[in-house]
Amino acid sequence: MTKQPDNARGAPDPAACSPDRVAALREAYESHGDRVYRTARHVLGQAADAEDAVQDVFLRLLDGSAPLPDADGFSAWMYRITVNHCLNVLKRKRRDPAPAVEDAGVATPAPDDASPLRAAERAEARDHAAHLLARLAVQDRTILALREIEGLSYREIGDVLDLPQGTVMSRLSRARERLAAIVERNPQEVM
Amino acid sequence: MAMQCEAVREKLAGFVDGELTVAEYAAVERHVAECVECAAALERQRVAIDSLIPLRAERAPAGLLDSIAEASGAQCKPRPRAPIWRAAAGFLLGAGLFTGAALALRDDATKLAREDGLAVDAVNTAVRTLRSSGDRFAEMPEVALLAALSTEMEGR
Repeated sequence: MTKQPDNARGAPDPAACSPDRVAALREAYESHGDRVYRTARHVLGQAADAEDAVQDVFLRLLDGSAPLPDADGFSAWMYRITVNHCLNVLKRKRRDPAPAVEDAGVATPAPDDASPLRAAERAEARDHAAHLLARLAVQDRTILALREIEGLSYREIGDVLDLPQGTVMSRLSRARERLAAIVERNPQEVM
Repeated sequence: MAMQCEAVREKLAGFVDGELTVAEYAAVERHVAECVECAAALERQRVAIDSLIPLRAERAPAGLLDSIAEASGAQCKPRPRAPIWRAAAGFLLGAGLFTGAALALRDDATKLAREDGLAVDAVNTAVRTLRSSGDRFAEMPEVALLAALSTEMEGR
């Protein structure tokens, strides 16, 4: 889905549209596109909304409205603007708690599936996991996505969410407890 | 001092993830060895972690970068305004609306310039350049100058 950028009708910013900036956009997408997509998908709870969010996040790189961090801070910066953007989207849509499981979207296949049967099994496992996660509130989904899917440390999560590490730990403990309760009520059926 | 269940539950994630101090880790370890409920809660931490492992391999849709590139192109690409006034110059010249046409063309260029930021400067620069380039253009009505400019641009 291609969405018209918010500032498409305004005069282009020559600096933002410079070849260097466009090349930086592609480079950033290649290294962070999957991470931003996964984070957006599970914070928002829907695959279609995630695609729009990813587009918005990467266009922010291009429009020059946000100063780019140095290489060391780039990953945390990407997660932070992704999470903040998704939370703003949810606020606008008043869509918390998460949408019904039927709307949770279909997981995108990974490219390393060796056989159609194996690919189908993995796709079903991803779909099931996504549906379970989508049943949680956005605060739980966000911290679980950052930790269990993206593998961020507590310090990194604290930087992204602007929380002390002790709060990250306690929120994560409670989020996992709630997710485990959902898992126990919804065991995956073996193909 | 022994930790209470509520305090232990808040630290179970840190216990599993290795984010506790040595002293905290030892205290939680002692507690879960003696408390069946907290031991079960510790197991649920691991169940939750395992349940999301399949999502780690999830990838962004294949066409998403193309969509972003397309949108970024729309963001950066200037709109093709210049041919509008060139076509208008030819049309108005043919209609014989000399003086009024010149004013109309100026107005059009000004309107476009407000949106585009480029057209009015381009028109003014081109007119000045033609007028200073020789006697043939020095006294020429503006509409004819614009038509000459249009012809010149068409030839490029």
